[in-house]
Amino acid sequence: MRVRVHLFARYREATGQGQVDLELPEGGTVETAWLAVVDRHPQLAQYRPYTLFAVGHDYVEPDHRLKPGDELSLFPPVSGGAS
Amino acid sequence: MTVADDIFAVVEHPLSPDDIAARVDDPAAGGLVIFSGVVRNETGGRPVKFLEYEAHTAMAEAKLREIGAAIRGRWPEIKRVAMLHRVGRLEIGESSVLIAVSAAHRGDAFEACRYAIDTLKRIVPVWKKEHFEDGEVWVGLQGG
Repeated sequence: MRVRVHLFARYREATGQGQVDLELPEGGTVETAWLAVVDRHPQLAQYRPYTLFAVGHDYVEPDHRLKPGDELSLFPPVSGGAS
Repeated sequence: MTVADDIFAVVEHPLSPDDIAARVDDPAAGGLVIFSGVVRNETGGRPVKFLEYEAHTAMAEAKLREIGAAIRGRWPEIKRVAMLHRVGRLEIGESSVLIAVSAAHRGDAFEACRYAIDTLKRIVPVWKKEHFEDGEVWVGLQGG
């Protein structure tokens, strides 16, 4: 199945790409997609512990099962700031 | 003063407190609270030249709408809510985020505005890059 992955902020700069199209096996999860992206862009591997995942407009966990045509976003923690 | 009048947007133009105040104006409001987040001239003692903000715009606007809905559920006396986040290059002193809440009474307006900015900082996908004299860094992984 085809899944489009969007990269933001430092992830976009580190890879030089705003999006990556993946062909994943049916039943693949967000983790499957992450591993496929890291396979192409190993420089992202170091960020795994901090990475947030979203499908569409909703945050999801790494074990979330993807559907064909899903738009997955990978990004670092949001900018936050001390209150 | 329905939810449809509320404003939630990621924009590229300068933000104006006067404009956002006008957007939440309501004859039944007795209090209006505005929060403006501005670009600070230093981080940890290091002078900042300017900032760049980047957003996942569609998701950010969806999350802003979620925050607005949560506010209306929690503080029924809120009249109007407006939340704007700017992206692109911002200079020192410019506003990166503006939140305005009008309510029948000030207590609700203060509480809802505080809730809005604190929640925005946790869940709205926006990132900032600090540009210094001698380099640049994406804020986030350093805990800053």
